[in-house]
Amino acid sequence: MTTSSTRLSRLMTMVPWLINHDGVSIDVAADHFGISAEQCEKDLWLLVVCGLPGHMPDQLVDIQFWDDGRIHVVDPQTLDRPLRLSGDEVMALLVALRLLIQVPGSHDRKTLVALIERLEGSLETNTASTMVIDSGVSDATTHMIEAALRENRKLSIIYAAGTDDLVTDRIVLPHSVVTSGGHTYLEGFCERAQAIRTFRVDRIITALLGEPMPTSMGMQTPISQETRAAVTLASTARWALDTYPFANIQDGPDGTIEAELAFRDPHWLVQVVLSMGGSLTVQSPREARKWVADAAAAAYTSYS
Amino acid sequence: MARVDRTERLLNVVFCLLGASRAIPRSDIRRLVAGYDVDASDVAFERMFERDKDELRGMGIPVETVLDVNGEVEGYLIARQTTPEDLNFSADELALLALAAATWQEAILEAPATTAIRKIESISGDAPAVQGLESVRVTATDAALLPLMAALREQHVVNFEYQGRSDPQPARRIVDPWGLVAHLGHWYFVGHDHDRGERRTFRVSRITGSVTVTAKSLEVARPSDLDLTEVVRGEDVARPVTATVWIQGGHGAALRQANGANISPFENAEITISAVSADVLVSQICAAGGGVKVIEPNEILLMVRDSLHTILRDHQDAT
Repeated sequence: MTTSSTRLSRLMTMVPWLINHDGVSIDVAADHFGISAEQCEKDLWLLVVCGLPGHMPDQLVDIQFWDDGRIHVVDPQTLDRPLRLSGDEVMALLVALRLLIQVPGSHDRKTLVALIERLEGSLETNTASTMVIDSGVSDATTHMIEAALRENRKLSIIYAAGTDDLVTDRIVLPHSVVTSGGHTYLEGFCERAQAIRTFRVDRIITALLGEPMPTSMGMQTPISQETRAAVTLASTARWALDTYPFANIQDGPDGTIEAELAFRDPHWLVQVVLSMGGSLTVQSPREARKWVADAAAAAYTSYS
Repeated sequence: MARVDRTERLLNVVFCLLGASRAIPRSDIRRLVAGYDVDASDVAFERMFERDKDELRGMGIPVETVLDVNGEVEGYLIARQTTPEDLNFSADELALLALAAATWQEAILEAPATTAIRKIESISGDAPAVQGLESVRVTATDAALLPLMAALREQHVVNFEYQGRSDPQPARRIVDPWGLVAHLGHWYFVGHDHDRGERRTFRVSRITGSVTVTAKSLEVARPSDLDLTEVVRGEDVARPVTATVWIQGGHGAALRQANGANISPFENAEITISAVSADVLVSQICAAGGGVKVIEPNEILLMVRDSLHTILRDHQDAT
């Protein structure tokens, strides 16, 4: 969107909102539209010089706001109601609702399904089906995680770890669900690891409800803080920039790229480096270099 | 007359056309709307008005072109096309819609999602503040998404420069749009590629430069039974490169899943795996680490060994 269309779209939604909030202060209105009070005043000044063709006083938008800093719409002309939702607007809501329904959470599924149907119904035939979101998570797993969170029960999962590539049986005390980078993760206390762990939900092969969670179990804040490793990418591996969460990307010597790679789980980092087959090198932290070296050495032994 | 800025002119066009009972001819628009220079040439006005009209349409404002009985342009209007009921949602629904809009934060559809919520709020009352903003996010930073969405809505052919993972340089593709799929955080565009005469899947982030939406209708429409999710999930069905690997019980989870190995994941296994190219296969085997060993072919075995050796060498000082 250009600057003028962003502003225009705000101005057009502002008038109906102001009608519904008669006497609202400039500060509150500015806050609602995510702009400064100064910008809000500029917007109002612009609105009052616009109106129906002819530009006679009774053909202009009339908004009073200079007396006490409170806004009263006296004559909105034809801007009294908003326009219908545009195609992009409906799709933006629809796609996000479709993601929400695939992700375990506390939202009311019935309302969600009804909303999705209503928005789909407002679009031209076939348009609704042209944008699909696939979290890779099965309904069965989603329902099981929701049930566990709702009923405060443990979860018994078979997990195909993408990070160390191991299939394991685990008992997890679920804590929360987050999505990041297109993946959905379950965070919880893993009895096997005796620590908080993050599990990618699409890699959970099966999930079953376990026993009730102990009430005394004080759940601590998840430890899966995001960390960054400084890495060097070979010139042939530029494509990886749109695959993994890199930051501070800079050109290095000979077409190489220096960047930071964000990670939560050391195993994930190691697996990414291994999969790059030598075109990505971790420079720091030293600890991370050692994880990679150890993993590569373990795999290399089979061939030497 | 004082210079009128663009936003003001656009807003005046909206006032002129919104809810008009009849189509407004261009000549009237030029005369009535403050901001069109009365002294400008016809060509300059036409150009300016075309650009304004496109901008308004790009914002989702339905500027309709009305034709007369002879098929000539009679004028323009913006139909309101809405009743308060269309935007009336319950408090529960509004809370979910606000949550949905918030999942776009910083992503490409944040602006339309925000405008949608504002429109709804002006009828249904303010949405509650969204809790847990961080927990669910749609990932979408690719600017190409918006024109592709428009092409899908209008059912028009698109063209764009595209550089696939194995393409040495970008090439222009002409495509009938069929759909967009977000699969595990990446957007894919599915359509019928004119030059290849077949269905193709494009990763949106590999589209270089801008997407042109043409005025042409589709050559080949989307087959009614096409499941877009299945298309994208099965994109690597054509996997000509194979290898036989030994997998230790409990290891090689991704390889087992991707190659449909029907054995218990906790047992040792010898399976055949495949991928689109040797590079991809080697990458998958390396990623599996120590629980997987290549048996054959020797070519793949050597590539895996060399890759692991390089990684080991580059990280070894820390061991």
